[in-house]
Amino acid sequence: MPDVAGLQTRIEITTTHETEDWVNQISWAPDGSEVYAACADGAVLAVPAGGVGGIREVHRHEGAATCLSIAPDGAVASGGHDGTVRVDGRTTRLGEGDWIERVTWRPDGGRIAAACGRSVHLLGVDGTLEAESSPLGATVTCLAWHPKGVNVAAGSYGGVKVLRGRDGTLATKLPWKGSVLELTVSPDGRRLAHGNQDSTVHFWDIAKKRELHMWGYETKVRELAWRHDGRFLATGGGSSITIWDFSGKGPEGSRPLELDQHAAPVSWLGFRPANRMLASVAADGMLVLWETRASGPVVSAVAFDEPLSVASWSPDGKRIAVGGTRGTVGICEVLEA
Amino acid sequence: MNSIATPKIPVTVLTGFLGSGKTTLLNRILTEQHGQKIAVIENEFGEVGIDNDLVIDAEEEIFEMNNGCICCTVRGDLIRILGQLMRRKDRFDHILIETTGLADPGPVIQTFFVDEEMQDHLDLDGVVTMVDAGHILLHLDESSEAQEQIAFADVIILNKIDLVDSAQLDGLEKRIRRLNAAARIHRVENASVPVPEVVGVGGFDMTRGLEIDPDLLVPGYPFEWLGVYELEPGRHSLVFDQDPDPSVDVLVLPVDSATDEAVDRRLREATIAFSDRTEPLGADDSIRPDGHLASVELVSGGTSAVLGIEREGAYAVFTEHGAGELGLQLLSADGQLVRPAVDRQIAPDHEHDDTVSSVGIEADGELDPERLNEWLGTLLREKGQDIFRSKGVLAIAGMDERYVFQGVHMLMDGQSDRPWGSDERTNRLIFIGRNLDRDELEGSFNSCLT
Repeated sequence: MPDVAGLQTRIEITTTHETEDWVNQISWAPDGSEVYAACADGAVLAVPAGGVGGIREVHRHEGAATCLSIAPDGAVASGGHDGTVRVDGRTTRLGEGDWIERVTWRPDGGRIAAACGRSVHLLGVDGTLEAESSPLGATVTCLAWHPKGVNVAAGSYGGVKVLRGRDGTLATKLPWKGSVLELTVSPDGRRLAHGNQDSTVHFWDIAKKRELHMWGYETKVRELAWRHDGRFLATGGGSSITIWDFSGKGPEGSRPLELDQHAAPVSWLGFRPANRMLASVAADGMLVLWETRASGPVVSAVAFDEPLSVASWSPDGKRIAVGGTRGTVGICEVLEA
Repeated sequence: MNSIATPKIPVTVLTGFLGSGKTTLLNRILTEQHGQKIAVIENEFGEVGIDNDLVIDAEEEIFEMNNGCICCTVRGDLIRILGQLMRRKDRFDHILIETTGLADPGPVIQTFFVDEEMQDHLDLDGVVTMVDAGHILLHLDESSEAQEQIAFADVIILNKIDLVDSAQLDGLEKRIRRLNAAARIHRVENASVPVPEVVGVGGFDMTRGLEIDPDLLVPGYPFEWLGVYELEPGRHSLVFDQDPDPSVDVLVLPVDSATDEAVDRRLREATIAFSDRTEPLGADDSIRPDGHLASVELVSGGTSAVLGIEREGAYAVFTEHGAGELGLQLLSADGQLVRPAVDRQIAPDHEHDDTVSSVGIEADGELDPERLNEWLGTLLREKGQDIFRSKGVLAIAGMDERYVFQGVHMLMDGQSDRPWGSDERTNRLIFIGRNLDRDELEGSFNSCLT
């Protein structure tokens, strides 16, 4: 059992639902009434968060549903192996043979960026294709909007390209010799971090083009999360969680905080909205809630019967939805001390 | 913590030049494997279409990791696609990856070694190379890719054998064997190889043992000629009329009788002796039948070296070059010409100069773990670029179990296997690669024996 630091905040599993296959991505409806799950059998499902009612199919892709994104008004966008993006039931085909690796709503919900093959496609709120970037050097593996929504960053083998959200033209190149798997832009939009196939993490100060490289991860790194104030970046890449501190002079030469509790590689991590707690899930089936102080104690943890693949905080930060590799969707509640 | 184990999905890599029959084979597998769900990842468009719902077209994306080191060159598209396919675990019993005709199979295989997620969920079953019997010789002469595709293979399917006669086929198989002495070879027409020979070959299963063509375990002898003589005691002479090199290495060993069988029993000893360091023979020294390799300095106009024999019997003389090339004769102590009872030219095969070859080593005895570690480590670090594949079953001093290992370029994986029990402890290993020096490999390996 994990060390529980005294009588305080804890997590409890409130409900679980079974879906057919590996949950690739999970996200909350803005009002917290349900969560949406993109599954490897092609289904995009709405799962009730309150334990009332049944699972509802929102979209069905041929092949896997790889990704989804929820707009502030609740519109569901999803992408899959069939090369289509579905937006609230409408279908837009972007690729013949190419998969949709990512879809992501602009923060204001006014536009969708989708990664398909080597290009980034920009879609309107009804799913209409409005612009397409020039092909990047390799398949686009990850996307992240600038918080203000002006630009969208796209990662691939060979680095990151920051594209204009208006028309997909190139704004800034952040070349890096290696395969980028995931990226994230800091809440103030100044910094960008990407996790890589070669078990490293790379940081950029976008405007100054200053970069910093972090070695020593156990596995490839696809788990990255900024705290709401942009001071900390939590990174996975193995069963340990490494937290870099960007206050003051930044992480260069500093010792990161390491959180060790998981017995298998971490598959997702995320800071609690407007809070300093961090949640993580891993292939050991554990959901762990952490306090990100120097001692890094485990606040609370719950176990599921299958490896967990994804998770998501509810917008109000009171619940966490988790998804597993055998199709379980769990809703957990954070009970304050 | 919960138990997490999920069965791994086996993956077969199918290589071969365009037109070798890969697609025909794929279609055969897909139609014959009733009840098995097989996903196919293909890179090559055209030829015949593949009749399967689960075909994924992948655009080859070669990723260099870590400064472009060859063993860190992987197929990025496969990491991405397989990373998704393995999530749909209920749907596939097997995954087949078809590579483009001109592809180097290295990056495909290395992809399975460098990505921990793929190691956890997938099992690389084997590399199957299709060869068009009618065209492969041309390809072998013209492209290093064809040589590499054969070198990496666990199974080689010699297809379209109806297009060549059996003598050509034997020659072709012999040449393939020299490139890769460990692969299984099937001769077929119209890609009609039994499916279990392609799917489920266990090529990367270290516990499956090691099949090496026995002819290739001691093939390239370090000497080009041997002769067996009946000799009386006395100071005989080895006379060299020619001087093709400044010196020639000579070894003399006693044999039980002046027969082929008797000398065959000393071949291994002679091979090992030839890997020893030689001392130049001094003017007053004589060659002795003591297993020590002698180096005879050759001078123009003819050279004579004394062969000192103490007991009557049969003796085998091994020379670095052919007897004809050296103008070699043996004169008895009283100056009479002695003819060999066995006269065997072991001409090295200079017919084809493939830079790719196999070096198989078989040696009884036990290995010193520290010396072995240092030898293998240094070898793979320094020669890893040129070593495509390596496999071995080793007897290590102090270990009751067999130690099995295999590698791709510099990446190596080893583990202990079942106990030796009453079996004789012996070592078998093979290296398949480019510009391999058999003598050096064998000599350095032998130095690890206790």
